[in-house]
Amino acid sequence: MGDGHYAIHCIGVSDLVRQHEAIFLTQVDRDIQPVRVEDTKLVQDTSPHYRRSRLYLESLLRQMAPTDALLWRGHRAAMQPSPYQLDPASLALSSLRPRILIADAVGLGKTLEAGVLLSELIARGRAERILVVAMKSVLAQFQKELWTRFSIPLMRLDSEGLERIRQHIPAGKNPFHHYRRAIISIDTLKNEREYRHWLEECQWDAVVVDECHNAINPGTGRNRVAELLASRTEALILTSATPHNGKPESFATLMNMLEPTAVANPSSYGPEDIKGLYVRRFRKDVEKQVQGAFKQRDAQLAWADASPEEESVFDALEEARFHTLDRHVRLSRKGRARDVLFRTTLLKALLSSPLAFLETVEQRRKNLRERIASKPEAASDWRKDLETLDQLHALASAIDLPRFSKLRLFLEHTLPALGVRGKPGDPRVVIFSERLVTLELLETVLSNRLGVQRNLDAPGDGTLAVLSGSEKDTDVRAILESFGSKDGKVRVLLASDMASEGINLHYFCSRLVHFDVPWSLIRLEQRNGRIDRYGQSETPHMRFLLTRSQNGRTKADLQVVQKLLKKEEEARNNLGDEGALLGLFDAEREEDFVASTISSGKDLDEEVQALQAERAGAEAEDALSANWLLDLLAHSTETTSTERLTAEPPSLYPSDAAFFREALEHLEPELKDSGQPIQLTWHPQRDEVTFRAPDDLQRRFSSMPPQARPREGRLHLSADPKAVERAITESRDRQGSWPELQYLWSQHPAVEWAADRVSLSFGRLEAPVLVIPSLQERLEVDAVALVEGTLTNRRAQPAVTRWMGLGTKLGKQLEVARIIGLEEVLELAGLRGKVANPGLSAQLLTSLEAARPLWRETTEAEMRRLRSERMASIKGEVRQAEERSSKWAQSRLDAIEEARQRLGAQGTSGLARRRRERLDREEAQVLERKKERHTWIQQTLSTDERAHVKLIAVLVAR
Amino acid sequence: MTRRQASLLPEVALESWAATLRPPARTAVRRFERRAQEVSSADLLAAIAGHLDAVEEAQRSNEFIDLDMARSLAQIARQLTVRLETLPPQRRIVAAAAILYFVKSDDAEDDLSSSVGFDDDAEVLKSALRYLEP
Repeated sequence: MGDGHYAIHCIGVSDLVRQHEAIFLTQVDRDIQPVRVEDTKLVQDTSPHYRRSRLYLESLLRQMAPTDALLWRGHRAAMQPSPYQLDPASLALSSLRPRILIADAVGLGKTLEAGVLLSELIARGRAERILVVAMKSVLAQFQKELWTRFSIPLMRLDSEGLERIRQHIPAGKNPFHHYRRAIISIDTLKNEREYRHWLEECQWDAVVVDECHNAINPGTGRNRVAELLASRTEALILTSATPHNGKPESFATLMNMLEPTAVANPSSYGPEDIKGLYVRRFRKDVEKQVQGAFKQRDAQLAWADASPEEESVFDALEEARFHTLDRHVRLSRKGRARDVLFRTTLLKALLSSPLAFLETVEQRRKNLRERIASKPEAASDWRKDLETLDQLHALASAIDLPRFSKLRLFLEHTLPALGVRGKPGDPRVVIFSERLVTLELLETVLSNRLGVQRNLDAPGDGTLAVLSGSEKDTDVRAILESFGSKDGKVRVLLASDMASEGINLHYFCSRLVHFDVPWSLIRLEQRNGRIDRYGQSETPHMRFLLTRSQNGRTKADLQVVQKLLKKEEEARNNLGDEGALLGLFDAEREEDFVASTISSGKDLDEEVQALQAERAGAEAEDALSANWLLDLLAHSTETTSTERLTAEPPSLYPSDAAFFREALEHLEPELKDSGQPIQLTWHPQRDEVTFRAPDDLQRRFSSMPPQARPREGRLHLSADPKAVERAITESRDRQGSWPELQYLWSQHPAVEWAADRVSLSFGRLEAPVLVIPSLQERLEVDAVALVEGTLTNRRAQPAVTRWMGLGTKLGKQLEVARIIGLEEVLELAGLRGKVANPGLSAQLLTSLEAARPLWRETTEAEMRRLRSERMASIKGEVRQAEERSSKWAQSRLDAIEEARQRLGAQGTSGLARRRRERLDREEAQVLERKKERHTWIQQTLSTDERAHVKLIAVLVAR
Repeated sequence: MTRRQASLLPEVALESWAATLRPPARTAVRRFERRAQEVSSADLLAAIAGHLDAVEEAQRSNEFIDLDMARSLAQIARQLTVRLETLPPQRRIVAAAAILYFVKSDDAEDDLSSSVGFDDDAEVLKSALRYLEP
């Protein structure tokens, strides 16, 4: 700045100011002094048994961020984790950047896996700001899971939550700035332009995108949101059970969201390019690990014999020929065109319900009438079709409720066999149909027969509820909470396929009826997965309803459907990935396939073979085939089960509860004196406590969801995961509420608060001195200085943190005789048990003070050694990562160059010029991205050679 | 030296050599057309020394910079600079351009902040040496 003055630009490193940036001007801020280890004041601790020092040391240990890839706390959340559930976190932490796609099959617990990884990131100080983006139907479920099991509070930004928030923050203020940890629906984000603007202003530490396959299609609103978020966060967790839709380009979109330099050419890439970016497991692979978490299902097909009126329609359909209403579909780029006859479409509608049939017929009639009116001269075919439709309409209208055979079967056999009789105490049941008009019919019928009623004003209070996809998110939540709680009023749930992705219905429901059978394996599995999932405690009962006809044609058609159901079972037992069976990966294409098979009159197995042959043929011609990706994704990724995945954080106390207990006892008197008695009550036999939360602790809860807050100012905590799980289960009995009992562990706000409070026991530049007589004989030194050395990267994050004991000989021959590891120090000094406090002489303090500069030098030298050790061990990895991104850039640049050459021939037309400009822009983007990647690698992995040294405590023999 | 090479104008020689390089290096080298003809050996030696100093400084806070590689390349560049006086214009331009590429930090790979920063410089220097062989 001139004149000997400086502007000092700082980034916060210690907990209180982490990541904050500040500029100090020596001209103005006169008291700037560098913190020097040699100025650390050595102080006495007169507390009994050195309690104050022990708590202080423990709090500093808890602040230490792990810098390896082991799990330090995620596995200790309130859950019973199976080994496979720890793999995603482990893989993400081992990568340069924690970004991963969790592609486990439906119902394996992806939410829990995401929670484990988030907890590890929190422990590393890398998850201050979190955004979870999910489908609106699962927002509440996700939010509750992450709080109750992981103590991670997310503010729910659904329409109700936003209303509440708008009252608290000024209009126009960015809610994402205000709430560091939030959960929101992807559709809310994509619909409002305001949100996009706010998103663009923010950066996150961790973003979770649930069911990310919904955000794959380029150009869609959801995709734009996902891409934007991916570029604004450090850690990215994507989840999806169906990440592959058959097009390798789509999977590449996900891979490039995780790592922009992973796939250079989305139409042509290989397994090496995507390795390490995803995990994928199927039920059959992990079943061994999870005894009893998955129940054997009871699935049955039920046939309803068609009534004479229904048979007339079947007969008429067999004869029906349409001239203008049939469709042609192509299942793949090179596949042959297939016919889907309109009468097959009508068959499907009839198999749902006569009303659905009439609706479809009526739609077409209307359409045809309009056409005939607009062009009467060319209308002869249309007229013929209209006539056919009129006939069918008349026949179908004769099918009234008593003659709707499937409905009778449903009411007279299926429901009673499942135990649903219209009495209070009936088991719950969910009924699926693809047609809304069928759902409406069922609603009316069930209201009359079973006496269940829908409540339009308060959907969660009715005994019947409908999820058709058009409900408000608050209504969806109310319905799910009611259906998912023991005493909730909703007993019968009618659902469409649209509304049901991802939601958990299995808490108190184990009965599912497919009122119509979807012609897609993927849809079948999606439906079944609502009650057949990890954590289902009852045998899931599924019933598939089909109509049986005497008509030969219809019989043959229905055989196809029956075979489809058999295939679904096959897929579950053998393959694990239903989508892979037909290789179409898309529900609509699967339905078209089945429809075209039925239309052609061929056998399903034959057609499946033909389809596979077609694909194989296409692949032989087309070098860029997707077969390898299909194969790859049809198998589980390997798990690293042999290696140790978890670590024990170093601690002076045997458990979080023990630490918390001693901390609260220590704080109790001072809190009482300041007028905030905590009224502490520990359970005599268990690690369970209730107490009154003091004001500063209550303030921490103010930006957390209301249901997480202390009830009437009191907190009730237990360190027993099983007790907490019981509380979670019981809370489902009380609709909508979260358990009052919260999990006592390192990540709970109260434990963090206690640790923060006791970390203030000594000042910033103070270190307690403890007298440990046995040091002399055990280690042959006069004193051990406990120091912490930290190497930071260029983003002020710790890259290497090491606590060590410097065994020192005092006096004339002042020297550090040996360097002792932390564990050894804690053990040998007996700091884990009760330590006698004999008091200290002033003389001793003086001789210790003389050793401070030596301690600093020794620590710095040791850290330099660790730095080069680290460098040697990760050099290869860093180089590999940079080479990979350079290769990516080279490949893109080569392609751009080729395109330029081709353009060169086209001269200087306006179009050619615009294309050249676009190529220039692309080139600039590629270089920019490569630079970003390299910069990120360098800034995150390279360390400054100057270590930060802190003198924590001094243990002295005498 | 072949008769064909002997008759080339320096600019043309540079272009024909540049065409054998990969796109980013190729574009960068083309930009040195004028400087490569005008720069003196003394200037180049100074630039080499200066660049090496910068790399050493950067390595203090970024342990992944390949200092050994940088030093080897500096050695090669220095030797090449000494040869410069003995070369005819159409070959001198290529040698000078390759050395200028080395001393520029932010070429295809950033020399001062990447572990693979000198891969491209090595490629360019090797290619120049090959070109100058016969």
